Amino acid sequence: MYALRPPFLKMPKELKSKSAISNERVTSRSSSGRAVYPFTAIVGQREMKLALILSAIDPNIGGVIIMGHRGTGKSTGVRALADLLPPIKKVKGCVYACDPYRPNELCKDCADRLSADRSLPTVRGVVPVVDLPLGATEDRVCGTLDIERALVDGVKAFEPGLLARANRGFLYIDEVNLLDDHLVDVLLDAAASGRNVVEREGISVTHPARFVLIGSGNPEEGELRPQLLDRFGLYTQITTITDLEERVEIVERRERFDDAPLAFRAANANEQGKLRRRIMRAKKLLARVEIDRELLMLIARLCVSLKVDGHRGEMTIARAARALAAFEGRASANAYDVESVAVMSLRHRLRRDPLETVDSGLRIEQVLSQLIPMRSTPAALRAVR
Amino acid sequence: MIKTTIESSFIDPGHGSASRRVGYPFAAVVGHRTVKQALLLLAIDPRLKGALIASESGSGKSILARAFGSLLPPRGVDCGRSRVDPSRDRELASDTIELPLNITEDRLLGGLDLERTIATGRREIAAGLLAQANGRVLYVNDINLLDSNTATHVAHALDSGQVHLEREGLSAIHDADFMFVGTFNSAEGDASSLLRDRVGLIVDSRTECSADENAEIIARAFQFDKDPFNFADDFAFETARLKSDIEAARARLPGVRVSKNQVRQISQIGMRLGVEGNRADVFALKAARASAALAGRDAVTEDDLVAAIQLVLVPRATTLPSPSEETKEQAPDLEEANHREAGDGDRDSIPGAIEDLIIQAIDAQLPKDLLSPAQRIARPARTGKRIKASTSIRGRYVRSAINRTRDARVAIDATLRAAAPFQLFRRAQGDLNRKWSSGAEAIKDAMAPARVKIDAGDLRFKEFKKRSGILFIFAVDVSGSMALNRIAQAKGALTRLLQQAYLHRDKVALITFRGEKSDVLLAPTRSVELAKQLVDGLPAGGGTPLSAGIVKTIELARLARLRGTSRAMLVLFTDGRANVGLGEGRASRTASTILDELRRLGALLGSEEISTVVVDTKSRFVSSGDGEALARILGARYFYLPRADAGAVYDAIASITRVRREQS
Repeated sequence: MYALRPPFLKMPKELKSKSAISNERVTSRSSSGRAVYPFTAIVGQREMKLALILSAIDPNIGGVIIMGHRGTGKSTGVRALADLLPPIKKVKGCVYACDPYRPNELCKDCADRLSADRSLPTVRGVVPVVDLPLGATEDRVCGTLDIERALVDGVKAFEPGLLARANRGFLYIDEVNLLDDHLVDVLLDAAASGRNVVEREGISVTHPARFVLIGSGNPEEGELRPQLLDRFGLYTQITTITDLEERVEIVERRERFDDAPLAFRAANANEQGKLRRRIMRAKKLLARVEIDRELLMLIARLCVSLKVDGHRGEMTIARAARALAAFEGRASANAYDVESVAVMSLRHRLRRDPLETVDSGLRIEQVLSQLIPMRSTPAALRAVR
Repeated sequence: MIKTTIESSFIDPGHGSASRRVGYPFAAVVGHRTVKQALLLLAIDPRLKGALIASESGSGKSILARAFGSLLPPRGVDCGRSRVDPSRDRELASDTIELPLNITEDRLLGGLDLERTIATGRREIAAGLLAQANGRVLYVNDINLLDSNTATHVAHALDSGQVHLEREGLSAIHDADFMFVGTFNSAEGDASSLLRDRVGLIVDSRTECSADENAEIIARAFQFDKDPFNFADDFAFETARLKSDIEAARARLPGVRVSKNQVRQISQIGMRLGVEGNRADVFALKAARASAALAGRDAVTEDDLVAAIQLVLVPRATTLPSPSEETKEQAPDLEEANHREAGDGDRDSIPGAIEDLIIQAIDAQLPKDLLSPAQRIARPARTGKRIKASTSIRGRYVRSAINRTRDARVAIDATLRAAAPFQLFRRAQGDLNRKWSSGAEAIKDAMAPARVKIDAGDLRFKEFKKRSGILFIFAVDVSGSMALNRIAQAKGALTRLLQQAYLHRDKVALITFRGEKSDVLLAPTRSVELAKQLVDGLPAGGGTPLSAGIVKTIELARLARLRGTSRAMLVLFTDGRANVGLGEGRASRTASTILDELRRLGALLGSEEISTVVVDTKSRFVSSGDGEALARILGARYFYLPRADAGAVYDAIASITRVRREQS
């Protein structure tokens, strides 16, 4: 029905053969030298964790937006994600970290090198997780003239910006609903085309900028522009945990982490390694995960009865369901997968009535239970423990 | 002696004088027990991140906050990457950095250091205030007036301990791990919710001092003014003792034990008070441990828990602490409630203890208007020492432009980029000129330190983007019988407005008036979520205090202007004539008094540039033209919309705002 298997999901041969890539990266700290709270030590918030894991497995899902109460672990979750991402192969010396196995997505330099040398030197590196701070100016996001080289050598050289740095990785925007409109425009352009086109200050550059958007925010701070909202594949709502034992656990773990971050991380290393390997296996399995016609019909019926505009909703459910199947180690997606991802795939795509007070999630759950008579537990998120 | 002091401060206004300048000692401040306690806890565990102090103006809160920095133990030498050249930073000598309300984004986050960049030809970063505050205290007075943009950046730095600089061609990450102290007058509005969430301690100290204390405060202030040095000396012993107490407590802190049961009590109280998020629980535990360390204990006791609840959890309460049965009824999920009930049964002793703790904490301090945020915003803002928002250079530097507007500021980064490609050429040209010219000019050329040569044509200017849109204030008359209708109508129109608001950064507020007064039901917001949560049912009936509603509108608009939303529009929903005036007694209710009042308020609306729309909801059948008359008096546009039709109201407002936006 849809092109559900983009060619790039087939793993390059080299990567397949070296299945024993060491997972024990020593990235115990973020790029800036601070110890990061481990993902597996986050208590509760299963929906957020599942959404993040799914987008790590399949970047084509389109990223995650996490909206909810303050102080519920939104940014903790996103920052912890970086630790779980398996390494990638990239072209050696390329500022955009081009993928050597996707010739049609190379930057100009790499394309030139490929046609000259017929091969590209590769190197293993980490997946970039780039922060887009709210105070950023447009020139740093898109990239601009390299002023030092211009001053010293008199050369008009391009200095890549954040979009270049985020290529093939994740771009994280905290308080995404406070992001300035001019930056939103830039993001939308790049997210839609996968390329960043810079035409400024005598510079004319186009470079690949395929990134997974991750956003977080509190809806009470303001609304998000609909076009930007639509770009996010999954929408997860996060609320204050009301289970006493879980709350106690949160406080205790956080206190232990704050007192001795490295020891805390060491105690969680085993769990982290397990999850990281599981994600890696899922990434490999993803290309082989089948989704049958019957299930696609179910997805289509769901979207039709919820009156979802466009086809992005269907695509997202199908992709997320396959990613979940892969995460569970199954080679075919089933109704359980669809159920588990439907709410987060569609929550932000329902037409909104200004006076509607019923939560979108509930409406989706209702339609789901009509379509699937023998439903298992609602929002079966036991995938993430 | 006096003369030398003046001279030296003239000669050396920088950090040299800081060692000589003497502040009012922390130990000499009378009263403010809770504020002092909060600041001491913060000094013991900086991971509490900060303290917000609300109190009346002139109560000495800012003296305490400023004196706080000098109590801290000396920091390590390591300032990390944000180290700045001491000779360039006059405030390095002190432990407190004060953040002015009118700070620009480049000074806050960091930007291009013009002087050094031009001198060296390399990009040089001037660290922003947040980075400079690393390891120190960042102090903001009148934090309720901090614009939302700055507040967001501060909150982000508090959260991550870093500043991500991606501006003006610069890219850097600076450490910004500071203790944040903000003071404000709670009568003038609340601190940004983002900041409230990110700091650990919130103190509302509107305590009346006894006459004795008042006398002592004045006496000490006189002494300090007369001879600050000796005054500080008088308290030197106490200051030293406080310092050593803090250091001892810091050393004890890692060993302070807390039982699982105590953590459970904290979480349970957090839940009972409806505290949003889980961060507060974490802060409360830290506060309890710091309190124990301060008291010289190795384990947390009930007193410490009470202190933590009082300073961390109670100020964040969203629901009234009620008997336990009620909380269970409110539980979102029945199953969950049952589960919890079962859990409670296992530990019979806890609920009673918690009840006591809450009562103790609340007895100690519970602001009377805790649960009506509306009242916090209500009173008029004081003007005077406040910084007025100047328009053309506020807002956010978004991009550079080649054309110069009035009051434009040079965009250094863009100017340098424009000039950069020509440098080799210009340098060569300069050498050529020097050969041909002779004498003075050649010397001047050679002595010019600037390695970068900039022509007038290279200049680029900053284009600022003001985020402020229009504040729509919906004033709804809830005195008559059709009140509910009108509220539904207003609510529909304002949610619709909000859904379009992302484009224009508009905000909405809703106030109601009935009886003798006017209330803020929805403080200015951009959130559809909050607007939806508005209650439909309200007590209705009583007189129509139109004037009170307009006064409240003007107050809201003034406050919004201080926070950067410069334009406001009043949408008045009413069906009748005003019959309650501003004054008290029967005299204020006569038609002529009220008419006169409304005329003056109409003029005030005009001078405050609040455009007004009157939505007449009275059925034509009984209408006597009151609404039209009112619109004339107020200089307002008039719409007759008797049916509760949110769409029509929205369309009417949209048609007016379109015109206004095009005009401005």
